[in-house]
Amino acid sequence: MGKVLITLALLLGAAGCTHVAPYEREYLTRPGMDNGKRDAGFHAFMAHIYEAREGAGAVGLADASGGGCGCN
Amino acid sequence: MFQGRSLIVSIIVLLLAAAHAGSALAAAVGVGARLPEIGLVDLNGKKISRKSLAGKVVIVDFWATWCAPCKEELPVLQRLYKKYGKRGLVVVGISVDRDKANVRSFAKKLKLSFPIVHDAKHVVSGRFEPSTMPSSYVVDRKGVIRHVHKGYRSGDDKKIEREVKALLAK
Repeated sequence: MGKVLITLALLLGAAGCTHVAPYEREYLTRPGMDNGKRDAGFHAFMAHIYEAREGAGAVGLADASGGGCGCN
Repeated sequence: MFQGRSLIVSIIVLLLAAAHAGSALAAAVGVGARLPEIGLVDLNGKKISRKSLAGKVVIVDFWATWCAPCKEELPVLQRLYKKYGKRGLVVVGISVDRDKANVRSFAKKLKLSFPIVHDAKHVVSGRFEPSTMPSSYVVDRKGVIRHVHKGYRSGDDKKIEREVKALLAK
């Protein structure tokens, strides 16, 4: 029974596989599809807030220091 | 015994499924093949077909706004088009983007003046089956593909130019 379930699971897994042609990868190239960059937008947003409010850049994310004026 | 048999059957089905997945990949067009039909209008409404390209040396280039090396390659093709257009070179850019507005603004930004076809439904791409982005096909005056460039690396511009010059001289 266990073997049957395993093979069924393998079959289902194989059915989910497909080839994506290079010219069809528009959505796959978006930053959100990359695990390493998934939260890049959020981190950039937080860095902007830190800069504007504290006058300090978030480590590793902001290069320019802000004035802490709260503007922008 | 029943379990053993079902396991074997399942493995056979798996192998068949894998073989089917492999065969689903259409064969890419290569050197020596006749230029597949394009048959779409460019961004200016002019139809681009084998007939309209007859007797010309053609570079058919598959590109997209989301493809980083394309941004390096397209200005090179623009330069070649400007330099050799009067001698019979035509560059046809085939954009595989979904959004036509993106294609227009991108082409405007890079000041591309050669014909650009928007292949939103990937009809033409399906005929060529380019294996990488970008892919360019250098076609002789008889409509036969003479060179295929997969991807773009610095230095490829000189290679493409040499090929174009040789085909224009024939």
